[in-house]
Amino acid sequence: MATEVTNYQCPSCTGPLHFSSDSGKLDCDYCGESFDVATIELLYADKDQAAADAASKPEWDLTMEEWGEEEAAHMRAYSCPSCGAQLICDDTTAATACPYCNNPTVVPGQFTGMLRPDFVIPFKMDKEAAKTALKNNYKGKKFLPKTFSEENKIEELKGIYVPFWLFDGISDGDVRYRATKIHSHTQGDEKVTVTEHYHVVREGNVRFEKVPVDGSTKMPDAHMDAIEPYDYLALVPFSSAYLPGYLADKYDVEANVCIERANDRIRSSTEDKFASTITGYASMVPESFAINITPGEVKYAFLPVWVLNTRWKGKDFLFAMNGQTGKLIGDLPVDWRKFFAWFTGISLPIMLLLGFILF
Amino acid sequence: MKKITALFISIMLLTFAMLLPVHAADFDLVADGVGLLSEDEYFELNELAWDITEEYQCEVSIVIIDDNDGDDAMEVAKSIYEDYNYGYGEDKSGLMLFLSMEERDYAIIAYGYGNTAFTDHGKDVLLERHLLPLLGKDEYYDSFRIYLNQTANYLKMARDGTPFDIDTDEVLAAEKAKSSFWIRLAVVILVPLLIAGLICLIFLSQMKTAVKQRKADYFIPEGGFNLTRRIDQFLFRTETRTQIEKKSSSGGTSVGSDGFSGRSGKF
Repeated sequence: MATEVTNYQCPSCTGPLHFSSDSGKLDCDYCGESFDVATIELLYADKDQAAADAASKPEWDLTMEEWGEEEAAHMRAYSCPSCGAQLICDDTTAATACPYCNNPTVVPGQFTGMLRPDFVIPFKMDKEAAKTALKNNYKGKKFLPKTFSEENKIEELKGIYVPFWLFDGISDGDVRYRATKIHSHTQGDEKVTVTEHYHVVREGNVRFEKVPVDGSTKMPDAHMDAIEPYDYLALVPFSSAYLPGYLADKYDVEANVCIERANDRIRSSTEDKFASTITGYASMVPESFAINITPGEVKYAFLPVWVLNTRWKGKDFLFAMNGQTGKLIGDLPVDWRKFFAWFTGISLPIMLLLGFILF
Repeated sequence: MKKITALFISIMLLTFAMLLPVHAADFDLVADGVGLLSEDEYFELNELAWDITEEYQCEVSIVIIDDNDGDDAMEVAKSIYEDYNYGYGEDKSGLMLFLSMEERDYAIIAYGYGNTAFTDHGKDVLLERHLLPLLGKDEYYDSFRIYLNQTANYLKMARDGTPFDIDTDEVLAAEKAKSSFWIRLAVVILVPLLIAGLICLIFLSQMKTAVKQRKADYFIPEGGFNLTRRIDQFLFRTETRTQIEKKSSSGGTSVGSDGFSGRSGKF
């Protein structure tokens, strides 16, 4: 008969534990602690399985539809010789300048070898609303150089559909923490601190729907992440009928390249979800995270973005607005003279006031 | 202790014999059993000690022995004080500086009115500012002379109703005023800079809005999180005990149940 010998370690001092027939517990000879057998078994249970789960990589179904011949016949492709952007639009829309780099010469190309989007969220904010939002964005910015907003060509604001990969998936988690509760009281002239050590286990699953990762290298991830979220209730099956008047960016990052980013975001949120259920402890130290993502569908979608690329003092500034919700983001230049003027203007009067009070 | 006491008696007898013609009626308040002082220094210090003792009716003494046989310097000093009837008047008021040369131990003990005139802070200052720096350099005559002069100052302050203590220590007050000045100056400079920096950082953060997302919380649908196992297993308990630090002394003298107060250490 095969016998499996397991050497258990003391959770307190890592010394070897041995079974005491007197107490019916596992005792540590080094620190004198005693543990129930069930407690120690729980500590060791499923560790190998959890490690194996953590090591496994999810496989996503990347099968997608291509454009039909009839639909493709009405589409046009352009490329920007300056920044390399690949743009598409329907045959009623003329691409006159690159929305990313403002290069006025875009070159017509062949509309071939492209996947057809599964979904699209149509533009809800029109150009006027986008212009108003951009003007409002400049208001109240104390360090914005005066000439920046004046020199902006807001008219060049362009609506484009940005290609996104939308990942569905379920993450199964088995997370383990070592946690402590601390009580203290005074006894005579001593402060007595009692620390209770706990082994905390959480298992469960988190379902994710349509985690977006943009498939365009021209559109910075930070910009696209910052205008999230889109309301997916407005997500409709793709039709080229939504394209007239807008450009669409052809994806240049394949879905299988974007998977890692989606997985990272899913893992990070899963860890947070489990951690949020562990309350009432003074400290928590993670012992193991076993998160296994079961892949779901991957869909290709066009999401609406208003874009303004502007150049100021030799530096590019890109503003992006969620074409559905109107959320606008974009880094602004800083006038450091204004910064130091404000810094001095705030600190000096307080210094004088404090000096008057304290001396 | 018996060996030390016997040694001390022999020192005292020898000293009495040496000084008999001059101070026949006097008890030696400076007992140099090691020969650290010249004869002139010995006479001078004894006379000074007696003058102070008579003027303030509180006995100030110095006892130097060769070896305390490993015993605690404070305990040896106390037994000499008691066994040889040190102290002025009925309440045996006095202050004794005790040195054991072999171990380089020192003790300074006060009794009776000595506890009022020589507060804990007073003894600390006497040792740290005046005595220990000189004793450390083996400058015994100078250190004993300063000791006696300082005790006279302390006794005078006590007689005037304000014993030397934390609240009457001008050096300490000057140090506090100096450090308080720098603290206030730091507050005047740093607090406005911090406030201005904080406000400017808030304004600055409005200029940078494009930030990469780490998480995907938006994309968890309603009811999308299911917890299937939840265990909070108690493992063990540890206990630590720490001594509660007493608040810094506001002055006065800590007198033991034997009526003595004092300090001891190495020089």
